[in-house]
Amino acid sequence: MFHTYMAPIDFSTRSLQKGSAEFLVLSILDGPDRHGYELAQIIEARSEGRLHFKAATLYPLLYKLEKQGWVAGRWVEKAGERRKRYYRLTPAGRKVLGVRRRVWREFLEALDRVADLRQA
Amino acid sequence: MDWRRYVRSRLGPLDVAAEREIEIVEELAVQLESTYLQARRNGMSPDAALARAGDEVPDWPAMAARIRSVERGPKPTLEATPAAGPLAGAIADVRYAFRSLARAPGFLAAAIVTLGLGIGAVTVIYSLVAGILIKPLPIHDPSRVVLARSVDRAGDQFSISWPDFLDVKARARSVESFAAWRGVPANLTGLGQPRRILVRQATWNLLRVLGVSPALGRDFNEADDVWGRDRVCLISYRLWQQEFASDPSAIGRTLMLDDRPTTIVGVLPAGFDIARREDAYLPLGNFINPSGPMMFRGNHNGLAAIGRLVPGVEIEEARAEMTVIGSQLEQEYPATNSGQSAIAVPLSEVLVGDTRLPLYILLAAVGAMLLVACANLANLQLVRAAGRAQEIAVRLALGAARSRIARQLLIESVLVAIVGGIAGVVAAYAGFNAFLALLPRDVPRLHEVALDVRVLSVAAAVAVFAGIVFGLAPALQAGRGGGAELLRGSRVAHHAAAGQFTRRALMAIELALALALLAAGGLMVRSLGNLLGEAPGFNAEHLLSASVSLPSTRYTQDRWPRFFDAVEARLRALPGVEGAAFTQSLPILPSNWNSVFMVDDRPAPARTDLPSAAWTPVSDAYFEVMGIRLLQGRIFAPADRVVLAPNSPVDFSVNAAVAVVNESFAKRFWPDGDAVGHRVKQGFPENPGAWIQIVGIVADVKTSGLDEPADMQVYLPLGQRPVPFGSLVVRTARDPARLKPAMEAAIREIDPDLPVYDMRTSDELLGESAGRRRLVAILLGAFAVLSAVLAGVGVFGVTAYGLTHRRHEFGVRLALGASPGGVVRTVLAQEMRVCAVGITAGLLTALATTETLRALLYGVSPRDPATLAGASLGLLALAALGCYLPARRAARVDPALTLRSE
Repeated sequence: MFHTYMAPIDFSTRSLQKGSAEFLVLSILDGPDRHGYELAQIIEARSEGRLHFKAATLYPLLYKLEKQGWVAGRWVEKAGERRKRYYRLTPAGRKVLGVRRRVWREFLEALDRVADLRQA
Repeated sequence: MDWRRYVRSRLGPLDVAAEREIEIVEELAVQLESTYLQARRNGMSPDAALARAGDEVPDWPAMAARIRSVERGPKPTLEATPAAGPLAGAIADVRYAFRSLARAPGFLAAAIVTLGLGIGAVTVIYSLVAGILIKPLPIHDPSRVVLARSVDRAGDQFSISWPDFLDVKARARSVESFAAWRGVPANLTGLGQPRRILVRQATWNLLRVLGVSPALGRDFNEADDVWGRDRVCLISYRLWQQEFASDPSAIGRTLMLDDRPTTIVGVLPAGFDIARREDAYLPLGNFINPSGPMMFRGNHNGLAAIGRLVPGVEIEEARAEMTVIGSQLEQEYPATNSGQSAIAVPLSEVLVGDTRLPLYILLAAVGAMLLVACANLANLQLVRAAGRAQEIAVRLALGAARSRIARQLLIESVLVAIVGGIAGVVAAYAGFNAFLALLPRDVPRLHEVALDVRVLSVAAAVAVFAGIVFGLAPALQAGRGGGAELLRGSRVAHHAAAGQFTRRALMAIELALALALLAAGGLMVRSLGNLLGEAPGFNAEHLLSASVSLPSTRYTQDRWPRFFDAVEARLRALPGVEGAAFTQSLPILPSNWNSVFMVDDRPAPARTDLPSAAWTPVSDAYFEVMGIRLLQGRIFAPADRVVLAPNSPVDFSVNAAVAVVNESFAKRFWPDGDAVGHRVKQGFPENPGAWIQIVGIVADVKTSGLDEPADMQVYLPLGQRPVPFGSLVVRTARDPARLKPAMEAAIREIDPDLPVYDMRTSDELLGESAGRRRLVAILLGAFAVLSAVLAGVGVFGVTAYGLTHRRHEFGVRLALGASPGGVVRTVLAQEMRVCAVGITAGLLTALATTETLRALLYGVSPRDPATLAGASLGLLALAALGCYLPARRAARVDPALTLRSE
């Protein structure tokens, strides 16, 4: 089972990092529409400050996801505020997120089985 | 706080659609503003909050690059090249290079101008080398062809006499068969305007020796080559095309050469020009009267023997054999041959002679200039590369191989060089004819010089080479340097510091090469100045001369002086002419007549020790018209004239033969000043001839070029010693060049069928005498000045660029109380140290190389301290200026402003 599911994942750190950042953003957007700053805040809050997305990382990533058609952005103006760009998940993005969730779950379970993560 | 402006100023252009760019800037601005406000709400100070927001994007260019790559999609650049093989990659690199260059028009313009000049100059000089030295002679296996000539004990070569030629031909075993030839001018009439052409008289076997056949008609045969036969000739392909429109029926037609009908029997192959452009070949035998002076062994009439080495024989063996034959002849004919031998020399050696050295010097100089240009461009490229450090960093981060980036930079350089090369070739074409006009007339094989395919392919190779040379340093630089740290902040300054060493090294090399060129150019220019400053011995202002040659068919001896009298009178009547005269040999040019002589009160020395002088028949007005000072006695007068018969010896029964000698002559034999009244006799002791009384002494005139001391000279009155050819000189009131058409017309009025040739002003005469030196001086001087300017610009560029990265440092220094003058001094001290290294290296290079110029120098030694010091100081001043200008600007920074921007 392990090898079947792990096949699509490249184990190089860089791609793992890159993959995890995408995964995080996609999963936050599987809910209400969010603008960029909110996204960063939520990730930071939910990870209790452990994960911090700088603008330098976040925006190129968002633009890439948008280019791939997984998220869509639109400008929203509210009274007394700057207009902001809100992102939502597209159907294609939702499908990708589903696959990623399963892959990550399998991956973590595998890690756990091998490295006994909960013990630590 | 305007966050949009904050983002906009840091992000740089993204090269995406304008609306999209505005959105991105706005979105980032919102993010940073939100971060800032949140930090303030959390109780941070404004400065800390600002820092917190700034921390969101630690590296703007890197982020911009990432956004750019996302927004533009996959690009055909380094990091995204599909795996389609090296060719596809190279094409992508070329496309990328075009785009990258289009974004740097300033650099491109500087590069094209610099390279255009450099490659254009290399192309033109190489065309000379290719035409004169490299292009093979239009004959079969030219390396096996040798010339045999006479040589005296001092090693000076001169022409071989006809009897000596016959003996050499009969005895030589190392040479297959000898032909004899000589080049002479001839009057061509009956084909349009009468004109003077160059012809070659040769024995009938010449073309067989050279391995060449006529393009049309027949070659000479033995029967043509005999005295008294009807004249025949082979004409050049050029003459056949121009005068006969390439009509085959030209064979059998008749030319008038020196007023003799000469039948065309053949046309020489196209491009058959050996030493110079000659338009007709005639059998030499037609000119050798079996009872005439050519049969005299002591008569050297411009002949050379030409032959092909026997297979397997080397030139050294032929040379040795000639020495043996020469000493045999010396023993057999002591009366004429003592003190002389024979020598064999490769034909190419004779043709090229002393042209080789100036050409190689010029080629080396122009090569050095191109290297200076390349060093300059390498520096410009390094500066650009430093400016593009982030771009390169991103590519490295995205996985591009270093070799790939280096290759891309090299391709860019080569591309620039090719464009510069095209500009250079265009410039070379544009200036080519003007350049050729600058060349001295006596440069051999000048007709072979052309911007042909061979020259252009060398220009192309030089361009690519230049591109690699100036692209190499930046490419190597790009190959170094860290990958990961590039993306983190402080990278640019680091890269700049690493590059500064290379830039300074290049700057020192530029200065060294420029100084070597300046020294060489300075020596040549001084030589030219010394040469032109030589007093020629006559008044060279406002003189015009033209040459004529009277054909023997229409002019007998008694008519010669009458003709020149008539022309003189006609010329004197021209408006603007102050005087006119005739001379057989013009000053400065080699004398047309040199002869040994005897002096009355001395015993005749051995034949080899007989003194020799230039003998010059002149008209009575000559000394006055030329402004040659009379020192003692008198000049010629009409009363000196004798009665001349059409073809018999001159009769001195009425008037005694008289001569005027120059000061060198008088001092040599009568140092006490009593030369006047003594007698001399021209020729060998056994020659017939009258004793000639010296009636006057005149000042020396330069006879064999400005750079040679005056020869001993004997002037004879034209009325006593008639000659059929020579030059007419007129002194004019104004610019003599404007009188040229009138002078030619005046001569033609007397004889419309007479070609008038070699018309030149005294300035042209003196300029031609300076010939090669002038050419080398002008070109070397120009290359030197250009190189010095390039080097100066290089110093400026390197210093200015280095200082942009030290603005913070200067700001701090100034803020701490340093004076602007102190900052300037600091910079000057640092940069001038590098300049001093370059200039010292240049001085050493100059000391090691200027010796090669020795043969071309005049009145100045190859290591002339004044010239070397002048060149060094001049370049040092230029370099100092190049350092001072940017230093002054650096010292003017506002310390507060600089510190704040950091």
